[in-house]
Amino acid sequence: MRAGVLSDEQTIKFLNENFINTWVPNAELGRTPSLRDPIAKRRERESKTFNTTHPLAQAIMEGWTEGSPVDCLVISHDFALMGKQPLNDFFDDTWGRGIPEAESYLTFLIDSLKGKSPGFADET
Amino acid sequence: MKTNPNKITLNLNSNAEVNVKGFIAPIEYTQYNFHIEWEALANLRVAEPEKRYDASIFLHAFLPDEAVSVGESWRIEEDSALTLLKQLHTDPHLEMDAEDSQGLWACLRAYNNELAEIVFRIHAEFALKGGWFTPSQFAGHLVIDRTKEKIVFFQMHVPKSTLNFDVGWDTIGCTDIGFCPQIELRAGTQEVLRDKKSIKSITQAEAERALILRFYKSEQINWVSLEEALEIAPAEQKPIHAISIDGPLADESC
Repeated sequence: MRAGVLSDEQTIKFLNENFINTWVPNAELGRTPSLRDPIAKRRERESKTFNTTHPLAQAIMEGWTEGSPVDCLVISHDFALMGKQPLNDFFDDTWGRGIPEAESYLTFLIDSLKGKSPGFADET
Repeated sequence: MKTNPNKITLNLNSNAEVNVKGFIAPIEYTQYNFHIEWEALANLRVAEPEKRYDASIFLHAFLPDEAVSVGESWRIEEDSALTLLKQLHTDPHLEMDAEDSQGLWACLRAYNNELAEIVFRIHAEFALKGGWFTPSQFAGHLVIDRTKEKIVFFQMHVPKSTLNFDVGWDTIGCTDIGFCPQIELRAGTQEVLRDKKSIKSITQAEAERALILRFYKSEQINWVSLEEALEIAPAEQKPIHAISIDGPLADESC
């Protein structure tokens, strides 16, 4: 993803103009069960904390798709989910339909901003 | 011949010697316990805990051929970098099969009449018996005494992020990710920088940004931390694009 869609000129421009961009390792949010204990012990030893209770962290966790190693999310300025895209599904869909990845990702971002709630089709 | 007053020439006395200490601590955790089940990973230790080098190795590896200004970056010489990496592990590689970004870059962060500080970043991996081990990055500092042309501080280390390496066990055809508390080469002391005023400088963060842009085009995206996004988005009434990902986006442990 890093070397693909996130390195596309048009995507970079669109993301910088329209969004506050952030990323977080799943392990930081406690998503990886086998890493929860060792990371918690390390944080305790180093007197560090990672706040997972604030509304942005909660919105990200709400947007997770089970078993997905990477989830791309669009979240409103008041922390409501507007769109979600598990990356494996994104690649399957893009390759299946023969659409360039960058074009498909841009569509996901634009549809999210238009209120079309991409990724929520199975839940409505 | 005119010289640019904002540029400095860096040099080292090739006849000097540098004593470098090397460290690899036992791996603290991995997602799938490879550090317990795979002998090569469980026994990963520094190849040579201490080694003396001719300063010429550092001269060739890290110093630019031409005068440079603060914030300017240049390529590190590969053979000399490999010589240093071999103190950590006998079989380092700069060409990485499993990764998407390779390279070795240095940047002049600061200088005054006495000292110059270079910040650098190297992507490399170690070939293990039955697989490979890819640290997130080798980040480093080199501080040079400009008048004596000698190294006063050198550090090349893998930063202590939550996950700081990626590993592939070819025998079972699987990958893992984890944390090693210390992978480091070090010489001299950072104390020399205390209370030193620079004539020209950029911040450490600015130097790191100049370097990371050499490795990843995706870093042209204006990424902010989760905490920063939490504050900025409501203030600017701007939506958030967030990626929740198994490994870090900004280094090779992903």
